[in-house]
Amino acid sequence: MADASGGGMHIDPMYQFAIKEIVPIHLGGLNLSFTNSALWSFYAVGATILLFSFAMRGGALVPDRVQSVAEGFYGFVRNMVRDAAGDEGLKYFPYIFTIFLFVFFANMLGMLPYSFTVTSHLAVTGALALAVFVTVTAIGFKKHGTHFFSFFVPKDAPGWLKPILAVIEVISYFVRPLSHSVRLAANMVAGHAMLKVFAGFAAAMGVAGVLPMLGMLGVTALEFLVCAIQAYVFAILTAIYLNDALHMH
Amino acid sequence: MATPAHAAAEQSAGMPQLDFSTYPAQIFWAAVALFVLYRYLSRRAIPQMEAALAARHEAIGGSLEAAAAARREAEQAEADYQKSLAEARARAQATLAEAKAKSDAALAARLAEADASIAQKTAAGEARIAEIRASAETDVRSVASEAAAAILERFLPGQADAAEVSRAVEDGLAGLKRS
Repeated sequence: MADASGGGMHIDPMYQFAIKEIVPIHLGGLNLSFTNSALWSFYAVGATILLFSFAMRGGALVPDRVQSVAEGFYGFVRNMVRDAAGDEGLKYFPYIFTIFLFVFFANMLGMLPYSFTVTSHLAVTGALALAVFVTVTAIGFKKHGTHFFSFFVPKDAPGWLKPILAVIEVISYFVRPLSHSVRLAANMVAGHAMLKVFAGFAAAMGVAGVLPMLGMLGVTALEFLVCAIQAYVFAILTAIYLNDALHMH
Repeated sequence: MATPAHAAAEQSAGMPQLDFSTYPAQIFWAAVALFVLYRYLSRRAIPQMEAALAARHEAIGGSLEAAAAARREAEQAEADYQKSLAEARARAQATLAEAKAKSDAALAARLAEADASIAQKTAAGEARIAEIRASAETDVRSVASEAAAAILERFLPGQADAAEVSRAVEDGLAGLKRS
């Protein structure tokens, strides 16, 4: 809404996703400027560290409310990893926990007015998804060697069908990081843009703007839900991909 | 350098997400943030969490164990109580049986005593009866002999032999006794 100047009719719902440089940094030809995206990444990390260090300050036997929340996060993600990838997958729990908390807090902080949603950018979610993809594939090859290629060949399929299925399997495998990252970013963009559009209506309709305001109330609640669910989905898909690499089909 | 990212975002009013010039900066700083978060979680938060959960697990286990011990103790006390109760009952039964036996014995002794004294008295009575009967018989014999002798004297004077008479009386009495 920052650019809703002059009568408030000109509202660009995508403006909230604009990258703004705060501290320009250029290394060679590379632009590594500290931007609002970087700032809100660190806010998300800071919020996580704040929550956990405050929650575990005593490490009390009987947890207080904050500690219960932190233990809830821990238990939830840990169980999710174990359910999806087995006890072997628990070795990678810290990584998945990091991903989950980062995405969760980035999504949630994105709900603040005038904030920036780090996970609404394909650059970040794509990099995360690619990192997961590369790591998981490396784990698969390290654990199973070249035998990991059999992952792409369904065992029970008739012989003549196997090459076709293998091609499909390979394509679907390489599409994983794309769907993994686009799902999260698109959810964030769509929800936040919709909120902005509704807010524009509210501003433009005067007294009747109460109606879109009421609609926004519901959509905001829904957005909070989507923020949590998308963090969960991103993390559980990571765990499932890990499980595929560890145990194949 | 006039920030191409900003410029692109303002110009196109389209998708800032598709402005690839901002990608390196975004990815770089997101990676830095993620690395910081990973270090914090793996070095501090997760070990702290695990320690707290382990301590709780241990405490709960300890409490459960204490509860189980208390339960065992209570069960032992109950068993002891039942045992002493049974012992006391047995002792009471024994005392009762002993008392009963004693009183039975006393009663039997008294009964025997009474029986003995009754028997003694009976015997004494019988003896006296026998004595009386014997003396009565003797008296009857002598009276009968005398009467018989006197009767003989009257009818056959001087011919009565005392011995003969007494023998005849004796026979007669024996006949009487027999019938």
